[in-house]
Amino acid sequence: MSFKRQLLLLVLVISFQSGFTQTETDPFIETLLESIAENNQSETDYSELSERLYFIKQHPYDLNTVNLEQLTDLVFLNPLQITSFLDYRRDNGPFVEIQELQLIDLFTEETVQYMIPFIMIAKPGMLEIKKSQAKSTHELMTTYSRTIEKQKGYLVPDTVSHYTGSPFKLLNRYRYHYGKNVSGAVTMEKDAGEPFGASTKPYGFDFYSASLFIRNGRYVKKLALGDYSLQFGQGLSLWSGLSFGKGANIAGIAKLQSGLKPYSSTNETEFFRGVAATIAIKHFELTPFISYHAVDASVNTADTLINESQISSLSITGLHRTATELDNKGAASQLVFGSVIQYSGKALRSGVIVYQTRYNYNLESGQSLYNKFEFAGSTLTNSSVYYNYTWNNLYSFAEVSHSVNSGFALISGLMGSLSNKVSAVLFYRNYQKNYYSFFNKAINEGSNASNESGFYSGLTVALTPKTEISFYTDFFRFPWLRYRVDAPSSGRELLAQASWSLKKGTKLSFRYKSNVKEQNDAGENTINYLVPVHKDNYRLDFLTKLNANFQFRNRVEVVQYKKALNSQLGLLIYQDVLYKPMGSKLSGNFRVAFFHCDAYDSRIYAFENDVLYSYSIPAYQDKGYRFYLNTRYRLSRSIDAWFKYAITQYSSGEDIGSGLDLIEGRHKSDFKIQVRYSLK
Amino acid sequence: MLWLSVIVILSTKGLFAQNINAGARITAMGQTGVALQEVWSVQSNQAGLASLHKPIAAISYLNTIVGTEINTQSIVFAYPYGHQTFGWSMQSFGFSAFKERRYGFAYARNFNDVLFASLNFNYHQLSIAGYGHTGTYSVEAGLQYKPSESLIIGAHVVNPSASSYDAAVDAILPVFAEAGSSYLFSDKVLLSTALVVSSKRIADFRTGLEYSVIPQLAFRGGVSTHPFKQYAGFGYAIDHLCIDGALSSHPALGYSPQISLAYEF
Repeated sequence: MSFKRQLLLLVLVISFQSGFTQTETDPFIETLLESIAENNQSETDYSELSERLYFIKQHPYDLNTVNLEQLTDLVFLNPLQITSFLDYRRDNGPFVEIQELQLIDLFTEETVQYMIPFIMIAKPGMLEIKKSQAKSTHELMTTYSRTIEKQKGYLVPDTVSHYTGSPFKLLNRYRYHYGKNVSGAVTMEKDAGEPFGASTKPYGFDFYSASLFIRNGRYVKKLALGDYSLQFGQGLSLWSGLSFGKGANIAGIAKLQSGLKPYSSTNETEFFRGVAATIAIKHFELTPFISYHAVDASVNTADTLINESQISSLSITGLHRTATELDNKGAASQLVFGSVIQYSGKALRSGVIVYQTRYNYNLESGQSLYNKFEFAGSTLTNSSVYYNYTWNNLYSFAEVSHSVNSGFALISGLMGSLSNKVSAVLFYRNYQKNYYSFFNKAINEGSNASNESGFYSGLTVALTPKTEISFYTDFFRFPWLRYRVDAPSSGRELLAQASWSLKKGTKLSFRYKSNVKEQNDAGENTINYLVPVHKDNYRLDFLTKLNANFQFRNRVEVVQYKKALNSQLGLLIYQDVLYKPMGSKLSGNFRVAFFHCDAYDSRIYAFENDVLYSYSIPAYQDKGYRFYLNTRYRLSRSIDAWFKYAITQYSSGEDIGSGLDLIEGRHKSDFKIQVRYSLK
Repeated sequence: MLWLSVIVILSTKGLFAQNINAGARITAMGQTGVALQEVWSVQSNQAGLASLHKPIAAISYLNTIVGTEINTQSIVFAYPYGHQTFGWSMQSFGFSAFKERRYGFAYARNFNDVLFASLNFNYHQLSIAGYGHTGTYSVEAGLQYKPSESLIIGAHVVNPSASSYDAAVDAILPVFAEAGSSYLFSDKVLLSTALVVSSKRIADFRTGLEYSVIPQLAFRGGVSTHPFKQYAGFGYAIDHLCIDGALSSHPALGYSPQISLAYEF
């Protein structure tokens, strides 16, 4: 070790000693999850990511052995930072102190703070390492939740469409780890309204998932039995599960693949079930996979009018509450098989994906003009080529994908750390209107990566170590019609965010986001003219640490929606109090929120704390107040319990919700109980 | 179809206002010239001229709408003399049947390399085939403040007296004020911003970035929010000669390519 390095280290170690005592990672994970949730406004399951992060927190990575793929799990690191980390370690030898991370080129003070909870430095002969290498851990968790008020679906007579099951939701999860290389997961779930017990098949729960995952064999680097996920390239062709979209994290636009992964989420539609393995030979990796499972679909069975049965639509909600939903449950089947071959060199990674998706019936395309180019048929073959390459301070990535006998899609991007304070991202995409993939998670502004082209440019500027500005603009076109858009259209999005870390534990940030898209005018015509739809969000966040036990979090958000003569305004203000005393058995948090939104289009999404591993991002809509309380109590060393209660009180109206979810009255309340038993 | 859109665009008053073109470098940086200093400051914020030490001449050609003969041609010259710089500019916009010309004379002064101030006088001329021509005058004033080697803050007002052609002519002279900053993060990275407020339209926020891979070669990019435009470009310097290219993209008008040449004496 050079003298200069020793000196620097000494200074760093002295000045950062205090940083070790308490680290708050949660606000960051929350911000990150929130930025994803805003872009996919459907119900996404974040439990897998949060479970993974908590697991890493408990079993931190050793700075001297952590590899590229493990670093990818730390979602706040961008590809240039990861390369920079690996280069540093290669050039300077093993890490001696954690604070040495400060010396890495592209690591900011904040990066290091985020990283600290997830890493450590193993000292030779350290007892814990040896122990954890061959040790079983079990975790069993049960979550029970329900809405207290009766919803219409449970009250209407059995003669009309109604919810056949009881109004509670029950989730059982079992996780098993043997050292770091073997893991198993079983998930059993029954959603609210789904039948539970003997009357249904499969017996008991509505959804079962199980997986067994083995890592680090000599040639077989990964082996998955049961349910698994596949994430390759830029998500244009083969990517299942969670993915990040456009958000305040500019570097997040470049997807970091994790290849074959075990599946443990409660999402009932987006997974593979079967066998998959990653076989490594020198710099090459081969990942063959095969998956077969039933899928929910609305099937038109063969009769005198149609010769053969057809799938009119696939359902992705995973809800099986009414007679129709139960009829559609598992009505079709999906077979997926294929392989990925990948080369990984020092700076270059590139791969080829080929796979086929088969349904047991033909998929019908929709009858409207806008879905004229939708996929029709029962078999789809996808092929794709991707690469990413690091050269000095530049990271370039691309994927070209083809759905055989139909269209092409392209992604190409460049990310550069122009100086230690400025980084920029350029990202171009072009998805043909007849490009299809059933496992497509590429960055898009529409509903999936098809029928779209666009150019995105983003900039992050660290004005001072405490002040950061992020800014991006995106211009996009949709060459074919879309739902409620009767002509080719275009739009743009802009986001600007400034954040200040005022002092330790206090952070202020302001964010402006503006989106303009074209949509049909309000007329009741066969074909409509397009009018621009403007949506502007202004958000102010304030986070402060009162003392060792209390933290305050505030937000004010205003949304402005304007479409021709229809203009709406939405307002959300909330106050969170987080109580987390060191070493206490009890911790918790609560929120009081006031919201005043003119109508549906001016609704505001906001992140909510929940029981462990659960995250929710409800939309605040209409006018009223919301309160929730969330507590955790440590019953014993191995048993933890969580409780959440939430109530929303509306200031006007006769009822809440619509359809079978309708509740009479002006308030809605829910509670959730969760118990975890862990055995180490 | 293309001609139809050109007619539509030309008949829209706001867009028809003469666009002052400030060379390919400033264009590529999102037209954020208010706090930049170079020869093309004579067409953006004349105060920037006062930082020059040598005479420079430059020309620029902008194909305003691809596929039409509508273009913008400019020629500028700056001559520093002691703490003062004199600037001349000439710009012609339009096509054979429609021409808008602007002749400018700028005077800029440098106060200790910290404060830069300028005044600019323009003569505008509009000629339409078959209808004749008309002319008018306007003024501009600019300031730049350079508190450190890496930071410049600029402000600029254009045509504050709101002078215009005589009432019979359906063409306007833009009236606007802009303020902005540029910051040199390292010898490779220059970031600039500008906020432009015009009498007719709401504020337009612009930002631009210049990245010098090597001292001779730079890549640039920028965006403006109202109208929403994206810009990109490059610059290459050999000895006394500097070549800059730029491409801007407008959601309705499409791409506009531009090239500029500058020679330093």
